[in-house]
Order: sequence, then structure tokens, then C-alpha cells
Amino acid sequence: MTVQRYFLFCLKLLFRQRREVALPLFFFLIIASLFPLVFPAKLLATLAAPALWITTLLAILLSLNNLFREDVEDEFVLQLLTSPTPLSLLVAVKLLAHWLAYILPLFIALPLMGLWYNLPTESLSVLALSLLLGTPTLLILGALAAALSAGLKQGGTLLMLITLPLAMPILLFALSMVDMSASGLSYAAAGDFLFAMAVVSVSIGPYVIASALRISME
Amino acid sequence: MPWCGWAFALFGIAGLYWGLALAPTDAVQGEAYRIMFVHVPAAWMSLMVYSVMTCCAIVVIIWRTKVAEYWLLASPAHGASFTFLALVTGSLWGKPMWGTWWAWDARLTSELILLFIYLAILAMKGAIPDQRKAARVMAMLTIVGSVNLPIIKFSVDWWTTLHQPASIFRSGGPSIAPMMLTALLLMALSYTFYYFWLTLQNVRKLIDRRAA
Repeated sequence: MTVQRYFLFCLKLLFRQRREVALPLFFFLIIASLFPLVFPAKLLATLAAPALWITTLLAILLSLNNLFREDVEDEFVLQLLTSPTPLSLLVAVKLLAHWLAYILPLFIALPLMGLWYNLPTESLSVLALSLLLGTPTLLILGALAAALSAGLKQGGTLLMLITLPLAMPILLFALSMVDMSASGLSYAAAGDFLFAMAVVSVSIGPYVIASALRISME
Repeated sequence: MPWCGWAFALFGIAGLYWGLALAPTDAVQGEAYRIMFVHVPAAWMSLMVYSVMTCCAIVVIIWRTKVAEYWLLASPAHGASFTFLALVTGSLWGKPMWGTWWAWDARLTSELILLFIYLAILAMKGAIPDQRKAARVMAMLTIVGSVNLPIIKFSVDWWTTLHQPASIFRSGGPSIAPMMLTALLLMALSYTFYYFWLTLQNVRKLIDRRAA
């Protein structure tokens, strides 16, 4: 199976299951609506970005449950493992399709978040930039955890336990970026770091995830 | 292996005596600083055990050596205990010194992340029935988590932290009083022997179980 065909296949599959694909988005919307509901109004401006970041993280973790689950259950993963196309390329395009299907809608929901959290456009755009730079790394780390826990009972909980410690630095940098821009300072340092992490994880990640998949699928 | 146990006890007693009785009183912190002789070696061990695990992990992934697998299976529990000890004793030290049990500064946070990574590795070990496959999965996880190690080590240099900067493993040599340094090294040796003592026992148990 060529890379392009597999990419279109993944997209088609995700489109056909759009009701399931929409679930993490609904989860995001519901949880993101809880915070402005319960936070005191004075604190909402400072707490908006952290709350939204944590909600995004949880939504991503939720969506990762489905990443390899079906492939493992119906043994399609064996086709991927034995195909002549390198597994790392297949994994890379699968993750790209996953990002487009699950995480891009979160960006479309951001203006609504700006409304709910009373965020000025400027902070909203910095938040969006931090999400853009940070979500690829989160996705790669989560996909690695998903590959390692593929096929196990309690795989979902293990996935979260593995991903969260590794994701903490990304959260820190992303929120420091938003924080710096809110105080009027330059957020270039944190942003550069996030970008560097994204580049490294996207370039090496698929290869590592492919080996992890091979190890857990023996 | 029994000699490991004796070495642990010997160095432990020597280190504790040196640290508690012989080492001079600290100029700034008075007597309470002596918890350092428990806290610092525990923190060193938490990092050392993880480094040993990373080397084992590389051996497991590339060569699939059984002994490396057993070592990798046996280590994380001890590493996690050292990390937990470091965090708890650090917290006990922080209350009189900094006035708080906890602070979200770079070093404490990254050490906490290390504890979570250890716990995740242990969770993976428990979730996979086949021990050889479990070892390989744990190996991957260890290698990915090893990026945390330089962050912990250099966190006090890279960020302004509440935790004091490095006074021993730094360019320019240690800046700590020699008596204190001796006590610290004795305790570190004692903890090292403790780790090797227990891990060797666990590895032997695993080998026996496999041979049976």
C-alpha cells in the first residue's frame, strides 16, 4: 500500500466515523465550558489559557484511544507491519490524518473559546500559536504511548499515565509563552523551544512509534 | 552479594555518623541542614538508577540480552523509591529552610516528572504478562523518558530556582566543606550498595524463575 493511498484511506475511515471522531471535540467543548462557569470572573482572564491547554491535552488523550485500537482489533496492523512501504511513513501519515481530524476542529472552536473566556483577540492568537506549535509534539508522544500500550487491557489508562509526565514540559513551555506575551514581553524563547520540540518529535517520532508498534505487536 | 549488604550497612553507619556527628555546622542553615545527607544521595541515586536503566534499555533494544532485561525489570521499583525519598526528604528540609513544603520550581517539578515516569514504567511492567516483551516495552519508555535527566541536572543552571545550584558536580570543583563532602560520598556509596544488593537479589530471583 503506497503512502498516498494509505493517507487517503485513513482520511476516508475517519470521515466515515465522523460521529466517533466528533466525541473528543464535544468533550473539549463541554469541559471548556465548565471553567468559565465555576471560576470567579476576576481570575478568568489569567486562568483561561491554562484551562484551555489542559482541556486540549485531555481531548488529545481521549482521541488517542482510537489511534491503534481498531487496527489491532481487526488485525489490519499486521498488514501495515508486513507492507513494503516503511512503517514509519505509514505511521507518519496516519498521525497527520489524526491531527487533521481530531485537532484541527479544536482550532476552529477557538473563537468560541474567546467568546466564552472573554479573551482579547491578541491573547487568543498567541494561545492559538502555542497550540499549533505544541500539539504536534503532544500527538507524537501520545501516539508513542498508544503504540506501547496497543492491544493491552487498561490500555487507555496506561496511555494517559505514560503520556502525562512526558507532556508536562510542553505544557510548561506553551503556558510560559502565553504568560510572557500577556505581560508584554517577547515570547520568542518559549515559542522557539516549542517549535524545536515539534520539529524533532515529528522527524524522529514516526520511526520510534513504528518500532514501538513492532515491539508491542509480537 | 551478601557482601553488598554488609557494605551498605557499613558505609551507611559510617556516613550517618560522619554526617550527623563529625561534619561541621552549616554557616547559614545551622543543624537542620543535616537532612542533606539523606536527601542528596537519594536524589543522586534516583538519577543514577535511571541512567543505569537507560543503558540497560539500549542493550535490551539492540541486543536483547536476557540479563539486561532482568536488570531493567528489577530496577524501576528501587529508582522510584529513591525518587520518592528524595522528594519527601527535600520537602521536609524545605519547610524549615524555605518556609514551604513544596514549590513548583524547575528542579522539584522535573524530579516529580521523573517519579511519574518511573511509575509509568512500573505500570507497563505490571500490564504485560510476557516478561520479555514487557522488558522491551519498558526499554522504549525508559529511553524516551531519559530526556528528562539532563533537564533535572541542569534545571538549577537554566532557570532561577528556589533549589540551590550545584555545589559538587560543577566545573571548578566542589564548593562544599570537605568534611561534609566526605559524609555525602559515604552515604552515596551506601545507597549505591543498597541498590546493587537488592537489584542483584531480584535479578537472581528472575534468573531462577526462568531456569525453573
